[in-house]
Amino acid sequence: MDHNDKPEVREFLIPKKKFRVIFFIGKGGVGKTTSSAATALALAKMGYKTLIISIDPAHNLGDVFMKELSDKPREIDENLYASELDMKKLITSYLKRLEESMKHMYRYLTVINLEKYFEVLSFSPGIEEYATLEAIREILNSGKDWDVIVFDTPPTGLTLRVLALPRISLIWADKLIDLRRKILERRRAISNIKGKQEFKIEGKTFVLPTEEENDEVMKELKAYRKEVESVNTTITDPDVTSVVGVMNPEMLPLYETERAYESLRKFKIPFNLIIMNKVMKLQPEVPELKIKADSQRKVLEEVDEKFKNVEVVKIPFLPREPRGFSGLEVIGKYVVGMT
Amino acid sequence: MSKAKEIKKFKDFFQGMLESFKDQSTNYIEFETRELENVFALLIMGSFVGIPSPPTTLVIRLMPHMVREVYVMQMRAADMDDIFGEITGMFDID
Repeated sequence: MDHNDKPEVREFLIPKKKFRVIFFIGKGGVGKTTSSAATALALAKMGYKTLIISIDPAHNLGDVFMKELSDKPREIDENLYASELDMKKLITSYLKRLEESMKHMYRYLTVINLEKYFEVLSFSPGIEEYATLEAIREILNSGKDWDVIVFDTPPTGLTLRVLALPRISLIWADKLIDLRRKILERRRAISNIKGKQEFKIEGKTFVLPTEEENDEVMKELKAYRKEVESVNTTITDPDVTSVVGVMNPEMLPLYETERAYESLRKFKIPFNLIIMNKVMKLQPEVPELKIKADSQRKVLEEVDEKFKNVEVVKIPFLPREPRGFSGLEVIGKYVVGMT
Repeated sequence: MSKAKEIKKFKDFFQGMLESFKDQSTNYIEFETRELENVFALLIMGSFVGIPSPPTTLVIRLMPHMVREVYVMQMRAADMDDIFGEITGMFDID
């Protein structure tokens, strides 16, 4: 392993405020799960109560630890808890919850004929992202139970969309709150002149709300905004959240990491570290592998140039996959910066 | 006709005038409010007509409270062919 790095523990991987959140992102097959498991293990060994949670629908966290995992956190070592979220179950329960809230308006549905629309809503594109975000939000809400929460994520694309959601949702909420305010202002003006405005439908009479405090729509909008904002504050706070990019010294993972880096910067989510897996060091040189080694060297040079403020940890190409605790711990200590 | 009756008629006449003034003065704001309510409902249910929707969670949380807006939107769609009638009426154009 490369021993030029300073031997201090990397600050952005240990808790500074109440807890630390670390997202491991990267292209499929570059070693996200192994790296995140190793890091979690090392942090647990340092005495931090650590939860590692896989939100990748194609789980293999259990395979890396060689333990059976479920959607309930299970203690697999001292201070180390692991779980694999069941995405299918999560999406179903998310939709169930939505359905429940829809039932409240059931009596109006026949009036305005919306049942069909709701059926379609549950199949609307992006429902996985919303369900994933909801799951992340719940885990972050339980943050006080942990010192460190490590997320092993699905391949970059989905993760980036999920991480972008809070910001996008905030924009929507703000626009809608603005518009709602305009409606309420006008309603107020009218009722000042003409008295309470009523609205009749199906023999029922409602008084149209004119104040923000009485308007259910406004209350819901504000509640939603608050929830999303708390997630957004958490994932954009460099003292709480760190994103670790995992890649191999090859061109395609490099491009993907670059794109991820750019979009995370746009959403102000701190990207602190790159773990470079499967770096070949041939001693003596093997002619058959020279081309491969050269192209790796080129990628490594580009990484140093392109990610100036990001630390890079190089993990050598290992003869055997690091599975189980002892193999992982060596890598983990190295990632955290203890060796 | 007794004096009291005459006074009442007078009062009613002025009351009516006042109401009509009030109606006229709020006509425009009411129209604008309806338009805004329509836009609000359209934004929430944009996927109906191919407009990108806000986050699904938000949409479904708002829906139960949007009876009025959805109603306005439906009326708007139903009266679509008469929108110019409404506008010219509002500005007293015959």
